[in-house]
Amino acid sequence: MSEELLTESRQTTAEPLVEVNGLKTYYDTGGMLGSQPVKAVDGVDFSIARGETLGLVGESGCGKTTLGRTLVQLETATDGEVLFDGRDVTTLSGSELKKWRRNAQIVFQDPESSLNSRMTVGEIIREPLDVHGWPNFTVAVDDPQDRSVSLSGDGTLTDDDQADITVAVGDDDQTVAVREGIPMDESAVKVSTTERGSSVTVSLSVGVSKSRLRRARVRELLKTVGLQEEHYYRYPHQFSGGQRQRVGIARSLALEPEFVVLDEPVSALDVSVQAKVLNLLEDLQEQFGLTYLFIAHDLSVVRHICDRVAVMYLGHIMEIGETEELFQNPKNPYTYSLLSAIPDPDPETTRERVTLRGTPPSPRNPPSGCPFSTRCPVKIRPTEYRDIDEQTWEGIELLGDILRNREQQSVGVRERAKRLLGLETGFDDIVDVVEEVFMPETVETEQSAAERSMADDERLEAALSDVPATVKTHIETAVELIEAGDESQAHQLLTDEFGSVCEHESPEHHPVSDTGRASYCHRHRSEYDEPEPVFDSHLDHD
Amino acid sequence: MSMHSHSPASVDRTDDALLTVENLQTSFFTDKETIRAVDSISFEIDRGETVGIVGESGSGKSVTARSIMGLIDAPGRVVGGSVRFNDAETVERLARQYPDRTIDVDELRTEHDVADCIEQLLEQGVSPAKLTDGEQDRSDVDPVELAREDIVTMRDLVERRFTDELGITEKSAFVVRDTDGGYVDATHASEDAFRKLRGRGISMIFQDPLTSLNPVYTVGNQIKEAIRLHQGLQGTEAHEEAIRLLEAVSIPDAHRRVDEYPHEFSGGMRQRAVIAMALACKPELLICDEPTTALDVTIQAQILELLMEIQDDRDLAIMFITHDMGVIAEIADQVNVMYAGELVEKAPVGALFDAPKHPYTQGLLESIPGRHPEEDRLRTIEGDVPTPNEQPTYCRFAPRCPEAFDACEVVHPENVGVGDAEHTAACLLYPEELPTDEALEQHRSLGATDGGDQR
Repeated sequence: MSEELLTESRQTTAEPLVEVNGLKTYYDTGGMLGSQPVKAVDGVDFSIARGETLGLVGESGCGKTTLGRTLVQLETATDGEVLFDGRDVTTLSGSELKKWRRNAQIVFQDPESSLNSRMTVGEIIREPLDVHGWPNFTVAVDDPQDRSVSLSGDGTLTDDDQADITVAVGDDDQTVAVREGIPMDESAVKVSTTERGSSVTVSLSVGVSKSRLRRARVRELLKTVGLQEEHYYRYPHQFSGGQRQRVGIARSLALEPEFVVLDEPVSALDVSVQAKVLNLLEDLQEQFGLTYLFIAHDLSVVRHICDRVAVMYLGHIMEIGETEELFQNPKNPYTYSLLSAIPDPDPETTRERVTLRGTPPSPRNPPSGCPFSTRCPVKIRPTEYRDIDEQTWEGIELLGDILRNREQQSVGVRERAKRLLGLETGFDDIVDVVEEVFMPETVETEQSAAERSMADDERLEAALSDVPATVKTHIETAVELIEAGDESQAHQLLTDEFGSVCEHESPEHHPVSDTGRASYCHRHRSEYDEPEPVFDSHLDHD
Repeated sequence: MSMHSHSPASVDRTDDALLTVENLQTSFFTDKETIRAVDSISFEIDRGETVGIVGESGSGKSVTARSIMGLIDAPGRVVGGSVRFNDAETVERLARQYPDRTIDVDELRTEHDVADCIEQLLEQGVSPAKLTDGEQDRSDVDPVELAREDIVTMRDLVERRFTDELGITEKSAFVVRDTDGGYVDATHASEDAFRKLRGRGISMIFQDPLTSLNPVYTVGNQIKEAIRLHQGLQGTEAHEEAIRLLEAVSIPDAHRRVDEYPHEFSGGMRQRAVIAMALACKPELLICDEPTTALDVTIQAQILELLMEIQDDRDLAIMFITHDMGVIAEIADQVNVMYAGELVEKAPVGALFDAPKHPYTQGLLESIPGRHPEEDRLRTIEGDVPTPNEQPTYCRFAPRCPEAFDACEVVHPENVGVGDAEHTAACLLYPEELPTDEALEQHRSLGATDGGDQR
């Protein structure tokens, strides 16, 4: 159902250049024991309209770079499709793939490591031209009498309207037009025709060598990105970070692509340099009608340059929609938290901040249900626990986190031996954890000697003294299970008892505005409260 | 010219600041050129205060921090100025350990007459302006009057190391004891003394936590090492303390985590562990060199929150280096803006963002995306940051400055007061209330006194 909703809402934008459906990219380490794959991209759908800039934001490890690399076929998709002009490019291979690659380019984050330090800047920008044998001299012949046309000499015949050379066959002479992207004068092309009945043969010779054309093209590109022609013979180390990034951009534009993935193109640059590169990217987009996928973690940059934004978390798109709308009124709890974490360059603002607990879970072992459920501040609670106080709830969540982490930890041989010999029982250690989790204030201060001498069960009793009875029994059962050495069982118990739809079911993309914004959260279902009022009440509460 | 109404070098020079950096100058000597990475900068940090240092890469932020920590390696060297660390406990500790290299100002006061010292110095050709730190620059100053009016005190002479020139103190001395609070002069400390000052007195955390953690030892071991060295705790006590510190930096399940290796920690947790290590030394001053630059915003928010909490708990002074204006707005009380090795603007955080005075600061703030949402293009600063390889006889920002005028090429701007006392800018446009030629004159004369003969 969500699929339909999404496709429907997408129709409002212009004709899509890139369309991604159910894309998954897993990294399988292929270990002998058949380990879990890393689910870097775990089922995403979106589209990018021609000439649009789509921003892709998220924390490191959320899969944004993998997604970008999969779109330009630098990674192999595990499942799903990437439609480029309606054609699925994940199935391309060989010469077809190579030909398609001219259309989709990528600019990398670190200009230092993405430029070969032994090549001059000219050679670096020229390399893609050499690899793809640019220019191919595609020739379109325009014959008013519509005879069958054959070509001899340089060039290959095409009916593409984007041909490098267009020859119009006239009665006595031929007019030649060279496409703007080729730095060559019309006069360099010599054309003659021979007619034979109903067919015509055009013989064409180009008086300029390809290598001269390529050099000219590189010079042109250098100027386009704001560098000088004489930089052709310099080496990358002679440039500043901003200039190196310009070289990377020039290289990506060499083959006149329609689609460019910008993978954190300004993250390594200073603010003032960053501003110049961003301006350049916008100019280039306008000049060449480019379509961008802009990957970044700096949200202020994204807000400036992108038309639409997709927010990623653990391989999923949590929210996608118009930039300004999404920034001003985030609907998804993750977007809300992420936006509130950006430091505002204005000391006057007294914004309420949501500080997320912990770090994103490992994509090798994502949580069941909603990917954000382990950190979500407005997670749906089971009805019977809706009224317990914040501190207790926070304690339950933290305890769950800790057990979850322990479960995923590989236990060393020494540790295992110790446990077997009973040198380290889970119990003494779990009491410390329960104390830490349910009475954070007392742990901070030095524990008194009296407290230290207390028996474990007394300490446990003390730690849980403020916890409501309904919760307490479950915690105690969990502690008993841990004592018996069954941590996963204890975790399961907590999840079963305190978990909700967030842990049990994957959410769907719900449309959250009339501009086609979608958010991946259970709270948009009619039976639950929307995230925003819940945030407000939490922040007031503090 | 006699007394200045604005005497910027001594603006609010309180002696109770925890750290006083005065005319610090650090250069790197290469075959080709001398790079003045830090070129005569002065600022202070009080207890419980966070001082931010912002600037683009290559502006000298990190070199400033490393100079304070004594971590400058060849071909670099601290060539001038002083870094005074004013913490009574540290002064006493080091004075005990280095009795031969300790100056007792009270003793000097009883043994020598200040007026005599001043007279001798004047005879040796020290300029009056330099002697009085720009307060008087007449050539006919009266030593007796200077001493009587407390314009030059024995403490001043010691602080500016004139007593070395007179031969009444050792050049190698770096601990100064005084009844109203002594200090440790970090620029003169020996390597082994620095080892005692680092950690316990001043701790530093770096951008990449992995470079500060040893991959082959557990996190707990590394924290325990710091505890052993700086607090003298051993065995179980050290172990308990390590766990307590990990809990203090909000690492959940610290009992388990303490036995894990750095690679088992996430980026944010590693930075927390590094902060725990720094705290193990019980420092008075924590220098943070871009501690959150490598982290995600949500983790950055956690770390910033943690640093602020720790600061409140321990009355810790923090020097925070970053290029992110947003982070500065969040965490700093006082901000220093650096450009090409110089400190171009100093202001309380509110004033800096509300009313930046230096054209560079203005440009820097303007280029942040989102400042002018109605504009399509981002505002930029033309040109690139120059390498500070010449003597500053002109404004280093002038070639990129939209407000530059002829004098910017020939007069070096000094820090002068703009607005309230704590706000200074090194720009010839200020002080605003003076006509241009008088303002220029003021910059010139300040330039002549402010360590002028080193140039």
